[in-house]
Amino acid sequence: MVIYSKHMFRYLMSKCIPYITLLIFLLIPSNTYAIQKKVYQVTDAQQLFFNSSSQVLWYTFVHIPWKSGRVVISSDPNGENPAAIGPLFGVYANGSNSEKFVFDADCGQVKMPPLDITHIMGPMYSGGGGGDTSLLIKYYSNFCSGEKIYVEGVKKFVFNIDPLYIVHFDDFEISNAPFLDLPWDYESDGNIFQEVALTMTSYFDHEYPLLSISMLNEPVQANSSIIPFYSNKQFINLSYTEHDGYDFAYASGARLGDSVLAAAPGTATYRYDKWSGNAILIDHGNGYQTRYYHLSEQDLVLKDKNKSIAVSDRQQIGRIGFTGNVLPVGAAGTHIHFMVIKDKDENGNFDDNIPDGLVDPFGWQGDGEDPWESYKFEYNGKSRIGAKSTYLWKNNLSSARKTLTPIGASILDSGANVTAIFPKDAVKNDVFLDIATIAPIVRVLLDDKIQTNIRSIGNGVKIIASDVFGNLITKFTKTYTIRFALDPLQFLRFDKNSISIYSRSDGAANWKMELSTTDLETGVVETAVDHLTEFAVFGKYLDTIPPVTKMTFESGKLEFLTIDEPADDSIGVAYTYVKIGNDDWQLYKNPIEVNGSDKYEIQFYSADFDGNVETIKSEIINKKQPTTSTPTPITNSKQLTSDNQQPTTSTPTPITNSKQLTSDNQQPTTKNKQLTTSIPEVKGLTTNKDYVVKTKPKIWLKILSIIIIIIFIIIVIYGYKIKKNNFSPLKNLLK
Amino acid sequence: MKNIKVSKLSFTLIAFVIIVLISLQLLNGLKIKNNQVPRKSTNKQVSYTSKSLGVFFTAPEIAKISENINTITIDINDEVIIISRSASYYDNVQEHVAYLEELNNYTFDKKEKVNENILMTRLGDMTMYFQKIGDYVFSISTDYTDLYEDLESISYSLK
Repeated sequence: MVIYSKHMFRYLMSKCIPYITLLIFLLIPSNTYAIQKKVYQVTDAQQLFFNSSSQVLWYTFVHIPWKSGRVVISSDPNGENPAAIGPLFGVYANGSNSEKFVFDADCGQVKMPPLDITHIMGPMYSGGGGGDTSLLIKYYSNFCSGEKIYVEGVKKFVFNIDPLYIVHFDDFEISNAPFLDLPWDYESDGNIFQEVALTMTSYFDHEYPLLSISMLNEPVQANSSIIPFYSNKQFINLSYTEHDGYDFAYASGARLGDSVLAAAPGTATYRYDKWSGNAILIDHGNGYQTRYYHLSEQDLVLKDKNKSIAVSDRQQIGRIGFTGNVLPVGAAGTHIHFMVIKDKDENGNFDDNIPDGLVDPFGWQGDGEDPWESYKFEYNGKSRIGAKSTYLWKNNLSSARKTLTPIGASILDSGANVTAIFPKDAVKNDVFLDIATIAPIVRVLLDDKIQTNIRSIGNGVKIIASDVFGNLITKFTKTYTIRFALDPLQFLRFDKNSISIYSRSDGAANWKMELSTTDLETGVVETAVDHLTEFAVFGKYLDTIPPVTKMTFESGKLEFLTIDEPADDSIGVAYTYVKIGNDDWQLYKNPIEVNGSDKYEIQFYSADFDGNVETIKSEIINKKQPTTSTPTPITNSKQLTSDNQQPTTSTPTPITNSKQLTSDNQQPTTKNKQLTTSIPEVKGLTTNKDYVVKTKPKIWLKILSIIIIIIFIIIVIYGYKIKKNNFSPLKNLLK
Repeated sequence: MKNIKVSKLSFTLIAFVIIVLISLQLLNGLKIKNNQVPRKSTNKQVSYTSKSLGVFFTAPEIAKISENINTITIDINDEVIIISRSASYYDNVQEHVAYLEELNNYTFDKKEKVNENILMTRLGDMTMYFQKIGDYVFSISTDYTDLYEDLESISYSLK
């Protein structure tokens, strides 16, 4: 019986393995990819003059962060059209001696077709190894004379070249991680996300968002109602059927002329039509695009349909208006229409995902299945199905709102570890408290002056109080206690006598010191106040002076000495970075021996453990003579260094987060010591910088799949042998 | 002897299952019957403050009130009144309702102005009160004719 069971098992395994394999493949979470088009402008149309002394008419460097995806050179931002390039064109990856592509245009008689240069991308021109690539673009005369023209009476030979773009079709993993914020400046009105996120005039209709497509109509049973994200019930009293986004207007604090902000970083383009009015579209590089409609003419970040521009998170991209089709007509209908599109077919084009790629940034929170996700329809000769909506807001919708009753309450904000303790009868009626943690304050403004030596200790807190009618309450009838519970170790780098709670009323820039008590042993700082809105603990920082680095060059060796003043308060130098000539920046540890040519530019800077970063200094050394030159502070080198006309590479800027600059004198205060490498600024070059490009599917998934396939093959062969031997487990069982 | 024992056991089990099923059916029947009894009108009202929508209203004491995102559900004996909120472009509730009719492709069967801020409407079995409060329009609606009185009273008390 045991033998029969064994045979039966083998027999069944041989039959079932293909299905098991298929099932495992289906169960393995598949990573989806999308393509984002990143455009780098090399040059506008221009005239290149022939200079008999040099074959090179013009050249430039373009730095491309590249890991994968096709790269094309063409005369248009879509990578589709040929370009006039003069007589001869060359593109070199990572230097002129490396992998290259040269196009001979027969003395300018023919145009260069769109040029696919993917094979030369990547470090060491590996053609697929991944990594940033510096492309050297060169236009040559190739001994052709060009068109003869007279400039101020002087005869010159000229070649007309077309605009040139490098188009990177970057493929990357689609991410459904929350990344959006509301598209207007609600915070400057003293609001928090939870207060305004649900103040829309119109909802996304989950049954069904077909508004943008005039050829498609909702089924009759759905064409007078909407299904909002939070219910599977049809509402006829909400606005409005077929709507494919959210409208925010006056009630949200989104008023005529207010700033419209990028909901997340990305690449912005402009569009205008009679329905949307002025519209900005932002590709966020994660498979999602956001659109902002009805913007006014004022302060549009871009108004050229053929260009794109990189925008940062919360950057102003326009102002709220009423262009296009709005109801009520005119200024009364002022609102911002905000919509989100998913690149479902992963081709980098979002237009072809309307309507089936339209998603609700609030996700689907109703009972049962999202009707839009399962809606099947035909459009443009293609069978389609609605998209799955996932919650895409960075902030949680569930409100941090708490109720304060006349009985009193002790309310904790865990983000800042702050407790607000309200006594009995601090309020006469119920009051809603919206509490939010705020990040450490970087620019502390006291009496209209930025205090560079005063810094935040830990997070702060913002408390907004309102009655049931929405009226703001800024004062209470009794004082209450604000208590920060900090880690005493956080006080170490501060003057102990200076630690205090500071407050700022709603919308004010200046902070005001509150009479506080500080327990240095427990870390508790508290004060009694009767008002709101923002509270933070500040103190005088002991060391706000960056270190000073001096360089010496003797016997062919470079040495650096760094002094961090004031010596009493310093906790030491964290690092020194050095750049020799065109080499990369290196961490200085020991004296550096300098070989090679006689003359070098040396750049260097240091930072201390308090996060004070020295401005980059530059010195020229001459191996024949000891250096005596005075250090020249520089911030970003992009000039040609010598007579041989080779452009320098860019220098890292010694800051880690531009938001953390403390004052007008641009002294960084961050303690983060990582370096970021800047992208060279080439005139006329548009770069898209702020993308996180995700890696391809995990290797273990591939290995697992291979193992399963191998097991499957072995068992099939074994099963075949059993069959060949005329073995039937069933027959044996019945014997 | 053994067979007889098995038969007895089977019989006992089957009987037990039948008894359980009959009991459940009876209980269900009682519940249905109980629902069919008209609700006795009660004047006792309780006040309720909505945290999420920022409004106050009174409802019958027996009502079970729950809040979802932008919606309050008032359950009175398994029949519901729903309050929902929407921001409005308009200064008066009549214009807001006309805007809804235009965009949602329907016309209310009945529209009756209760006062400057409240409009009563009817569409099929659904009765709906629209009330303008600040920049928002609240709609208080039900499909249940039994609840018309409660609907009216809740609408009037909404602040």
